[in-house]
Amino acid sequence: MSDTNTPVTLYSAEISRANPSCFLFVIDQSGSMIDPLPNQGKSKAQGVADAINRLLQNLVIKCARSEGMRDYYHIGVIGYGNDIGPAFGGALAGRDLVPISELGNNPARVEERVKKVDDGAGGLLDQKVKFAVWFDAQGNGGTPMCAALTRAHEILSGFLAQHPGCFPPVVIHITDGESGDGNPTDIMNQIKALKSTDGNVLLYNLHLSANPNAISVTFPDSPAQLPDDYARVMFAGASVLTPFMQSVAREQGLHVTANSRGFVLNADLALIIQALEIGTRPSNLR
Amino acid sequence: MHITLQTFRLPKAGNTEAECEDASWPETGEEREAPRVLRAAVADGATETLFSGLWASLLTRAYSYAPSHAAFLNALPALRADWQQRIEANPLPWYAEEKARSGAFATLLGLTLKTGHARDVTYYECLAVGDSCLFHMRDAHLFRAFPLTRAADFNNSPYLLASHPLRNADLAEHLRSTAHRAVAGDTLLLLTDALAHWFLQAIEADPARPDPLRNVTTPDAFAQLVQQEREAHRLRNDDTTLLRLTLEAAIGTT
Repeated sequence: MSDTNTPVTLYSAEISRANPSCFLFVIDQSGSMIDPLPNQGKSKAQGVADAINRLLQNLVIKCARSEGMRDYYHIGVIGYGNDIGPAFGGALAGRDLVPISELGNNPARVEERVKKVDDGAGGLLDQKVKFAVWFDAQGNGGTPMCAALTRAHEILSGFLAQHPGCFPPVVIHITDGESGDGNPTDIMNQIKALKSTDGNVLLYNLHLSANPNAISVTFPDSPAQLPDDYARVMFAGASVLTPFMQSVAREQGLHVTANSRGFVLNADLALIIQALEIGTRPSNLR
Repeated sequence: MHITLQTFRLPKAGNTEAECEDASWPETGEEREAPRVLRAAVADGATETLFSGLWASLLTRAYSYAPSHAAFLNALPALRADWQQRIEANPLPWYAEEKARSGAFATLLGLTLKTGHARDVTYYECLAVGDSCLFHMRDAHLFRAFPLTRAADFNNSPYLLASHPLRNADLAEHLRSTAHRAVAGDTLLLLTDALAHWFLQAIEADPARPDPLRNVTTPDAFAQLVQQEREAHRLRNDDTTLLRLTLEAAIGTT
C-alpha cells in the first residue's frame, strides 16, 4: 500500500545497510601542496592529511554501533599528484570503494593523543583519545585535477548503477585549486549532473589556499571574499547546500542563505559529517 | 481493579531484534489483580549513540523497581556506573571506544499506578524525559496526552537521559511529570516516539477517530499495522514499542 499524497522530497532516502550511500574523497597530493598555509604553521599537504583523516574518523564513528560497524556508506579516496588512483594503503590498497566497516578496521595506525575536556567543575582535564590515521602528508608531481575528477565520475557512475535509489553520493574534493590539466569546471558540472532517484550528487570543495590574503570562509553565497581565481573556480563548482544542510549550518551559528555553496576556504568540513542524518541525535550531545 | 499489561515491540525495518534499542518493563505481558502499586516504563535508546539499548533497558528496569520518582532519580549515579562497567567488560575497537566516550542516551517514560480503597478507581503518576509518550484513553478516545500533545511537538533532537552525568547537568529543567485519576474502562498507552507521532497525527487528522491501536491485540497484528504504516510513509521507520495497560473493574464489582 502506498500513500499517493506523499510529496516526493529529494535528499530524503533512508540510508541503510540495504540501501547504502557513498562518500568519495578526491585529494590533491601534488607538489604545490608542500607550500605553507598562512598563519597555521603547517603545509597544505599536512592540511589535506589532517582534513581527510578527521573526516574519515568522523564518518567511521558515525557508523559505529554497539555490535560493530554498520555499512551505511561505501568510501573511496582518489589521490592525484604523481599518479591518479585509489589512495588507500595496506589492506585496502588498490580499491576504489570499500564498505565503511573495512575502513574502520584498517587504518594505517591508531595514535593516542591528549585532549582537554571539561571536568564538570569549571576546569579542564587531560583525556587520552584514539585518533586513527589513514593518510600522511604527501606532495609531489603535477596536478592532474581534471583527470582525477573524471575518475571520480566513473566510480560514481558505477555506484549509482548498482544503487539507483540511494541517498545521493557526496564528493569531497580537497585541493589548493591549482589544476595542471585545464579548467575543472566542466567535469565538476558533469559530476553534479549525476543523480539517483533521490537527487543529484553533491560536490563539496575544501580549498586550501597559501594566498596571504586568504581568510577562512565557510559556505559563502557569493565569491566576493575569495582571494583569487583558483578559489572562485572551486566556489562555482561546488553544489548549492541542500535545505537540510542549510538548517544544520544555521543551528551551528553559521550565516547561510539559499544560495550558499558547499565550499570552504582554509576551514574544516566536519559539519557535513555531523549533519548526516542516520538517527536521533540527543540535543544534549554536542 | 484488574489490570492487563501488553507489550509489543518491533525493530526498525532492516534491523534485527537484537539491534532494537527500545526497552520496556515489564518486557512481556502480564495480568495483575488489584495491585496496590504497579510500575511500568518504556525507553528509547538514541541510535546515534553507542550501547543505548543497554542504557534504555537499565532505565526501565530501575524505574520499575524504584519506590518513588525521587528514588529513581537518586539511583541514576549507580545506573551510570553499572552501564560503564558493562561496556568495559570487553575490549572495544578504537571507534567504539571513542564513540562510547560520549555515553549513551535514552528517553524514559515511567508510569506508577496506585490503587486506593475504591475498586474501580486508580491514580497514576508519570515521569518523562524525552519524547516517549503516554496516551490516556477513555471510551476509546484520547483523554490526555503527556508529555507531548501535538504531532508538531516532535523533533529529531530531544533532550535525553544520559549515561554521562555532565550531559545531564540541567536534567531538572527537562524532567516532566504529571498525575491523574483513571477509572475502570480506561486504557493507558506508553509509546516510543515514532509510534507516538503517528498516533497523534492520526487523531489530529480525524479527532472523532477511536483509538487507532485498539485492534492491536497480538504481536502479529502489531507487526502488520507497523509495516503497513511504514510502507505508506505515515510511520517513520524506527524502533517501535507499545506498552498497553487495560484497566477493568475487579472481579466481583460492577
